[in-house]
Amino acid sequence: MNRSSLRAIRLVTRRELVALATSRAYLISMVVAAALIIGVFVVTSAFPAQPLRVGLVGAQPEGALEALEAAAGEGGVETEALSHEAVGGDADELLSLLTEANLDAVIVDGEQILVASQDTGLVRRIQTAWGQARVFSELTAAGVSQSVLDEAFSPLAVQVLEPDSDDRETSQGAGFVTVVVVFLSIQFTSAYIMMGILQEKGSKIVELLLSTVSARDLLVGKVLGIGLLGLVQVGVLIASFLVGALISGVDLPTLEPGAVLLALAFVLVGMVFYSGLFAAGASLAPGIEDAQATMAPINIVVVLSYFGSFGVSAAPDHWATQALAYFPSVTPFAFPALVTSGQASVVEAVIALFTTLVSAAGVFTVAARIYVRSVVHTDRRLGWREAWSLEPATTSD
Amino acid sequence: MHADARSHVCCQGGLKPPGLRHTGDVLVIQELSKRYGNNQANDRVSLRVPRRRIVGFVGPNGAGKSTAMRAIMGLVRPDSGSIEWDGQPLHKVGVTHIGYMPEQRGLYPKMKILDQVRYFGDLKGGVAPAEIRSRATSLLTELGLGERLDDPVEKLSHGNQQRVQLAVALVNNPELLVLDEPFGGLDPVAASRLEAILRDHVEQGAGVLFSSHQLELVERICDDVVIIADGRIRASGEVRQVRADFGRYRVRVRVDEPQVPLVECLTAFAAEEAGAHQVVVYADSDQDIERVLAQARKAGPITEFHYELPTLAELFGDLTAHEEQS
Repeated sequence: MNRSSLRAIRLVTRRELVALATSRAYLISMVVAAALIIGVFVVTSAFPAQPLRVGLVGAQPEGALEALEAAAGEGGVETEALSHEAVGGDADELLSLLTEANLDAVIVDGEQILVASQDTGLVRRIQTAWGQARVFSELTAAGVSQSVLDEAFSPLAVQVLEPDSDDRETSQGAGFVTVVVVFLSIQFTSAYIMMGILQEKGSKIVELLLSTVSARDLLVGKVLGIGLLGLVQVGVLIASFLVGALISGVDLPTLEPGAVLLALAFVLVGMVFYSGLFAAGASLAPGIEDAQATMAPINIVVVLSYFGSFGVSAAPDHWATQALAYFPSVTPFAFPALVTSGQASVVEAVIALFTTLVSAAGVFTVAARIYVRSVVHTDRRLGWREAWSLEPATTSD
Repeated sequence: MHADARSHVCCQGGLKPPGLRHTGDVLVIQELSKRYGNNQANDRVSLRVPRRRIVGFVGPNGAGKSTAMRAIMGLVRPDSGSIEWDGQPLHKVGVTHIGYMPEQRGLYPKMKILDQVRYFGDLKGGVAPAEIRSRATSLLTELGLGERLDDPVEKLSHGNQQRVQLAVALVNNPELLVLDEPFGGLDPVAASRLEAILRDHVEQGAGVLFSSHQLELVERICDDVVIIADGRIRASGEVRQVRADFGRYRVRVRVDEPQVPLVECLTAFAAEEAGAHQVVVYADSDQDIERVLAQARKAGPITEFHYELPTLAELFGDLTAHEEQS
C-alpha cells in the first residue's frame, strides 16, 4: 500500500466519520437504543416480584405453608381461605374461580392441587412443601423429638469455593447482554456501510469517486470510518447497560479487563467479516430498491448466526454448540459472550479469534473483489457469479 | 464575390500545417477498442488532445464517447490500444492531472458544497490542502455560488449542482479536463460562464476534451473536433479543416437578368433552383467553385455569388446518416 493509497484511505475514513457522526439517523438510533436499554431496567425494577397466591380449602398439614414460603423466594406467599362449595363445580367453574380470585393454585384438604395449567415448577414446590410437612407431622406423632427433627430437616451447609465469582445466572445474563450488544453493533456498522454504498451508487457519485480513488481504498476507508463509529456505539450500549443496572440495583458480573479486550477484539473482527459481506451485497444492487434481493442471502447468514450464538450461550458445554461457536459467522456473536461470562478459556478464545481473523481476511478479500468489480455498474442488478468475473471498476485495482 | 466567402478563403489559407498541429499533445489515444458482449463500444478509436486547445467530442447517443472518456479515467479497461500522457502510458502516470466530469452526475446530497469540492480536491491530490481550499472558494464564487458555500448540495438546483461538479473537476488545476456533456442542462447564462472558464483554463495551458450534442456550441468554442459514430472515429481535426475535408461547399448563385436559364448552365453540378434567378450547387474543391463561377457567367451578369462550408451540424448529419445507411 503506497502513500497515496494511505492518504486516500485517511480522507475517506474521515469523511465517513464526519458524515455518519453528524447524521440525524445515527444520533437518533443511538439515543433510542440507549434509552430503550435503560428504560427496560427501570421498568423492570419498578415492578417488584409478585407473590404466589394460593387458595386453601379445608385443613392443611402443619408447617406446609412455612415450607412453601421458604421456597417461594422474593415475592412470598399470599393465601385465601375457600369453602368446599367454592371448589365443587366443574373444570370451567374452577378455572373461573382461579382467574377471578387471581390464584396460582388451590390446595384442597392438603391432598389435591388445582392449577390452570401444568406449571411443573409451581406444582413441584407445593408438593415438596406439603410432603415435607406431612413427614414432619408423622415423625412428631411417632415421638421423634423436636431437636432431632430440627437437625434432620436443617438445610445443607453451603461452602462457596470461589467467593468472588459471580453466580451462573449473572454470568449467563452477562453473556446474553454481550450477544445483544455485539449483534447490534455489527448490524449497525454493516447496515451503515451497505446504506453508504447504495447511496453512492444510487446518486451516481461513485463514478466521480472512482476517478479519484481506487475502489479498494474507498472500501477500506469506508469500513474503517464506519467501524470506528460502530465501536463508539458499542461503548454507548455498554454504558447504557451499566447505567440501567446501576439505577435498578441489578447485580453486575465482575469482568476481567483481559476478557473485555478479547470480547472487543471479536467485535472488531466480526465487523470486518460482516462489513465485507454487506459491502459486496450492496455493490451488486444498482440502488436501494434492488438491495433486498442482493442482501437476502447475507441477512439469512446473520440471523442464523445470531440465533446460533444464543444456543451456544445457553448450552456452552454441549459438543454441538462448542463446534458451532467456532463457525466463522457465529464466532463474532458467540465468543464475546462466552468470554465475558467466563465460559471459554483464554486458549479457546485465542484459537477462535485467530480462525475468525483468518476467515474475516478471506471473506473481506473475496468481498473486496466483488465490490471493486460491481460498484461501478449502476444500470442493473448483478449476480454474485457475474460480479466475480467482471473487470475491476478502476484500472488501479 | 461575397465578403463571407473571401474571409473563409483567408482562414483556410491560414491553417497550420498538419505536422505541427499535434505538437504539445497532452493526451494521445491510439487504436482503443472496447467490446461489451456484442456491442463494439469503441473500435480502434484514436484521438489527441493538445495543450491550449478545446477538443469537442461529438457523436449520437451510444456512439462510444463516454466509453472512451471512462477509459481515459481508468474506469474502463480497454481490450486493446493505448492511452498516453505526455508520451508515457497513462496508467503509469495516473489521472491526478486530469479533471473529470462524468456523464452520470452525482454528489453527496447532505455535504456542504465547499466541503465537497475540497474533499474531491484532496482525494485527487497533487495540490496542497490550503491551496485546494482557496481554489475551491474562488471557483465556486466564480461559478456564482459564493453565497452558498455552506449549503448542502441537496438544496441546490440541478444547474447549480452541475456547477459544483465543474468546480470539482477544476479544483486541482488540472492539465487536462475530460468533461462528459458539461453544457447539458445549463441555462444560457451558466453555459456562457462555463465557456469563459474553459477558455480561461485553456489560456493557462490546459487541454480540454468535452462531449456535447450541442453542435453549434462545439463549432463556436472548439478548436478541434472528433466525430464518432458506432464506436468508430468518422472525422477529426481542426473544426474548419474537418468541415472542409469531410463536407462539400454549398454555392449560391444569383443572376437577376439571365440570357439563358441559370440552371441550364450549371447542369454539370446538379443545380437546384432556390428561388427566382437563383440556384444552389455543391462543389468539392476550390477548382469546382471556379468552374461554377465560369459557367454561371454564361447565364448573364452575376448578381450574387456566395459559397460556404457546411456547418458542423450539417456535416454531423451527413456522416451519421451515411453510417445509418451502411
